[in-house]
Amino acid sequence: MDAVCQGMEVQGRVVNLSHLYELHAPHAKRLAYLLCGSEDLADELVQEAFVRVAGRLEHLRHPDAFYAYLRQTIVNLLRVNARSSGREDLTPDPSAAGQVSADASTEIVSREAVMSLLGTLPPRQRAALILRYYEDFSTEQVAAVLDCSNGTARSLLSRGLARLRVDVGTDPEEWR
Amino acid sequence: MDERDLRHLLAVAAGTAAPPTALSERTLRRVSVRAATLLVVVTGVILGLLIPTTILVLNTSRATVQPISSLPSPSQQTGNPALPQMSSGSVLFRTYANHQPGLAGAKTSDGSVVGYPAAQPATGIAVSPEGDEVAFNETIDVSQGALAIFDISSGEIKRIVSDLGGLNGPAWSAPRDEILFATGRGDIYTVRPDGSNLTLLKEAAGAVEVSWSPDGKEIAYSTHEGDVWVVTLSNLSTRQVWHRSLGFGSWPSWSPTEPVLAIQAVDPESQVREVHLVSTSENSSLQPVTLNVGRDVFEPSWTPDGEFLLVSARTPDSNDRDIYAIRLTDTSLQLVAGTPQEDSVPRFIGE
Repeated sequence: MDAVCQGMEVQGRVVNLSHLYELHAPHAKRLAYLLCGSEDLADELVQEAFVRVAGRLEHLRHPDAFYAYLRQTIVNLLRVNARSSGREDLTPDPSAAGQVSADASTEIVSREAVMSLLGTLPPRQRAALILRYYEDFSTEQVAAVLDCSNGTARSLLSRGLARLRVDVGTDPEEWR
Repeated sequence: MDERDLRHLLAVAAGTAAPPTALSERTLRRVSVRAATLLVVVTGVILGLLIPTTILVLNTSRATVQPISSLPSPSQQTGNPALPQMSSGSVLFRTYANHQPGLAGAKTSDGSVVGYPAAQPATGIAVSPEGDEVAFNETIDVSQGALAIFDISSGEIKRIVSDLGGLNGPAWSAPRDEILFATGRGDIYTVRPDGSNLTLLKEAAGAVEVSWSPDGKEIAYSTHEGDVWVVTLSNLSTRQVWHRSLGFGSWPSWSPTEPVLAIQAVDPESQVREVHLVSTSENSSLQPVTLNVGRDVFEPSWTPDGEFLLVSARTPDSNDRDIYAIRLTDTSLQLVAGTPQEDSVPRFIGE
């Protein structure tokens, strides 16, 4: 690997791209996987988002907030992917259901039950719920990432939760 | 369900996602190229110059790669006599060996593995009738793919279709010498291996995976909804051979010897992925046959003699999938080959 690939000078500091990736990619992969439901697509999203964000690292206003940029780029890429694939939502290619990996059959059932349930939600409701309850975002932060008003974000969250309650029932143990 | 339940379940689901693909040298180079592109553009704007950024676009349409002979063999292959009942030949499959996406080939005689890194992550794989070339779908971007031909002996990769968005398939017909594939929008196309005669067979079919009949007169395809259809090419009549209510159907593979499709489907109750055999004959009253091998199996494809189905399946006590064969006479599952990484989409090469 040549030297130019390993490090990049950003505002007077040399940033090691490999370390940057190792630091943020695992969490980004988990977020991307929740959003799209496909291991392969999540991997591609993370790599592509990393290329885009790291490629303009020197031009970022807040390079220390690398993960925030990475997260925003993943959400944006998913929107583009959904539009270009002709699907109205962000639901992954159903063939991706054959690409999951897990170590135990119980985990497969649990994970697939969760992912299946998330897949029934409209994309913005799903993204809002994941950002709020997985990323621990405030409603205002959800609105910022989804590029909508706070009121719209609150509506997405309440409608999404309501829909999950209808789909699941009151006892989540039933579908774990 | 309350908010606490949702937090917990999201954490459980996210926690089972596999670790991210390692950062490859190629990705790092893309970062560098992108950074350089931005620098050029910014500098150009400042100087009032219009610098076409296309000069920085790398031409990768004919990349040459060399086979890797140093891939580590999986420990589970040690002493593996492979499949004495199976015809001699090789199995080609998709792998992430050495954390790089690519194709790998394994001899059925001893399971020894040789890897071929592809230019981009490959999805579907189809072997040419002569067994000397491989058609595969490259994933260039999240919304862009390409159909490429990989020459096994030289390692040369040649893209033949690259402007139809994301692609699925492919399948290679021996009598027609045509490659069948589907676009991300579900349209079905054929194209000659040299890239000529690109033909739209069926528009908006919702197709994902595709398969040729042995005589090249019919095709089968699975849909985004989990159904499987057969199309007679002479009149484009269609008939449904699998309904989603039986389980989400995908990866149809046409038997080389019988009017039968192997289909991967998720059992609606147990959620186990099984292989089912269904008749492709019109007005057939045959019911689907389920091959229960006791664990999830993926992406079935036939051996040329129609006696084995190659699948990928999780190896016990392992975190990844390897390549197995189901012998149809007794539905036994036998390990064929594998790498320490995720192996999938097996295809047989040989007589």
